[in-house]
Amino acid sequence: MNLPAFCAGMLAALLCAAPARAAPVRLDDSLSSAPRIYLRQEWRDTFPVPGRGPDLLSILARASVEVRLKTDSYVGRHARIFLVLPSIANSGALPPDMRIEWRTRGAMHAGIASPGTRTLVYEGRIGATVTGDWFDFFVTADSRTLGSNVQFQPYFELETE
Amino acid sequence: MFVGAAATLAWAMPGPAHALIFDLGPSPARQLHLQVGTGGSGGQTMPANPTVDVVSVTVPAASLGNSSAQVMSTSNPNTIDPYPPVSLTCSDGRRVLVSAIARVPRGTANAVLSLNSAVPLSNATGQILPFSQISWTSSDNSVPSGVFNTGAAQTLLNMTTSRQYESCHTFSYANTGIVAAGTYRGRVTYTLSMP
Repeated sequence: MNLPAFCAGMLAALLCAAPARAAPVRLDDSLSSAPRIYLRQEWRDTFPVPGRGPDLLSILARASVEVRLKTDSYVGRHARIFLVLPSIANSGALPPDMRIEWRTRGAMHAGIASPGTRTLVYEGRIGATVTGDWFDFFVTADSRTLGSNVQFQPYFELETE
Repeated sequence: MFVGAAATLAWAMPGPAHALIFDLGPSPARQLHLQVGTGGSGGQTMPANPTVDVVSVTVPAASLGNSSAQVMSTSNPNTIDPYPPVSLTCSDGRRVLVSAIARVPRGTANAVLSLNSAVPLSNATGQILPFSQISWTSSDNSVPSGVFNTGAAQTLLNMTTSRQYESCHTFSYANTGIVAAGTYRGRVTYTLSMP
């Protein structure tokens, strides 16, 4: 077996082994507790830390929201839910060094995401018409690249097998 | 051009009913803080402190006008940078804390720390002594050493980056020339400004 033939064989085997997965569906999150989450930009340190040089400009913002996702079409099915953080905001591209981190209080997973990524927050059987959890969000960014009055819309996608 | 159009479309597209909109609000406010000698007590907003420290020296009669520099003492022997984390204490009875902070969320601070020593020291009978007789050495040159130039706007520091500059300054009287007897008093004003 030459090398190209071996690679083709391996690829075919992997494709056959993977279960069929439906295309991700964007979930309706309009039942969530806050229609709009206002976050306050703050300096990371109350005062600049001497000796740290000019690296003083990170900011923090935080908010808690009860995320409630309509999952009535998937009750009883095994599914994975992802938080998707688009790379685009109202003012253009989000800075790549921005991070949105969250902790949860129930069945969903804590995690961290950067612009343009999707992060698994739940995997298992969908047991109710509404699936959710409290999310305590922390947003960090460098104000030199973030700017003012930035709005962005993370959303949730569901995949079933 | 194509990329910009695609980005706008992606944001404006409503998709399904959607609740989670994060609004990050305005950038953090710009900040200026200045402490010379006795300062504030910490906290997000520096309280105005009306204390004016006195730096002084008594020249021994035997040394009058002999060009032997006389190190000066301060009325507050223990000036401390009160902002967490505390990092600098000027505490030998001679050193005076000079701390300047300029913060901008983006761009260049372009803050300037300047001095006004235009009004000379004077004694009770109106005789004067120019502030150019007084110099200072800096503990680390973050806020540099220098000599008062008797100008109304002597630049001590150009602050381009968003950070804190702080040093302990020890003042000296040059003691060149005989002056009329008396106690000479004067005031130097430090100003931190940002356009």
